[in-house]
Amino acid sequence: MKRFAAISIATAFAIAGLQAQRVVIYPKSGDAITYNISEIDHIEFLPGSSDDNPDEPSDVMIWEEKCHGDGISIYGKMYRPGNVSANVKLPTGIQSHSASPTADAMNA
Amino acid sequence: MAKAGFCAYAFDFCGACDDSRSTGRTTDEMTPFTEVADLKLVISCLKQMEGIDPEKICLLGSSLGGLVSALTAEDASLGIAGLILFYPAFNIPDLIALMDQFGDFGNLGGGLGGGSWGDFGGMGMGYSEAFCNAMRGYDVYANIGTFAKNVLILHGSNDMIVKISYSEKAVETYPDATLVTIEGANHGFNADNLGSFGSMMGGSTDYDSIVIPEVINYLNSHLK
Repeated sequence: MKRFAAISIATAFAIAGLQAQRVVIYPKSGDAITYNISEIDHIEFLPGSSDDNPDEPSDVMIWEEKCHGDGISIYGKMYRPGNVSANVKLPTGIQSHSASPTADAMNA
Repeated sequence: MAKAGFCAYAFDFCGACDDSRSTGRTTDEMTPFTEVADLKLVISCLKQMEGIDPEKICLLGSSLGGLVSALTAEDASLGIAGLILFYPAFNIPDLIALMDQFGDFGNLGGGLGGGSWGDFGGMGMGYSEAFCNAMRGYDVYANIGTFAKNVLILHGSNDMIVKISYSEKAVETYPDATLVTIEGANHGFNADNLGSFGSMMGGSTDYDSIVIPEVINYLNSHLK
């Protein structure tokens, strides 16, 4: 069973007080891919698209974000769950990824 | 936690250490109360994020972060849904009182100047004068205990920095709290957060197989 509940997070970039810095995607094979947020036009998440077990979240993406306020800027990393596929729309075209957790990803 | 289906946000407090990637406050300015302000800002930001349920935010803090999380959760207007504390540093006022007895001799290793004291145990942090002034004489237990939701506290039986008796007292202070004793653990549950204490007290340095299921069970019980 496939679920195509695409979630657009482009609007999250514009939320006052919160500024995403980078997105790190851990593909099922190969090295991690890091995008600076400035080069990304749009990201479309496709949670639960795995045929294996769509109700068991297993894959992880990591965002680096900053919260701003009162003269301070707080750096953090967001670990998002879900069987995630992502279409990263760049000025040069669309890069599609299936994310997968790794030990390194969880310790990053 | 993300693998179990929860979004997890880990961040640097402003001025918590020289390596902090957060900006706007120095290590000389940082106190537990500036960290409470930092955490409140983070909570405010998270509540605006897509995919985050603002009514299901749980705080998890260790050591000083545990103290900060406990103090922050007392603000009922934040609507914190759960609180998990790893060996919370409820003993800091007592430590400062102890070191005050030594005067300048208490400033070992850190060279932070009068009214402060230095790098305790090689953990890469000391207490600044501002920090000591903020916590000197502070009654932690008079400032926690109104958080009405269940609190989960995990504490190592061999903790050299914060004796487990501080968490035993905390459990009596909260209306609904559970203390899980991690037998043999020191001030940290794995090699990454044990630092230089990892080889002390003769215990294993990795309790993740015990601690992580406790955390996931709590989150599943209280947030889903």
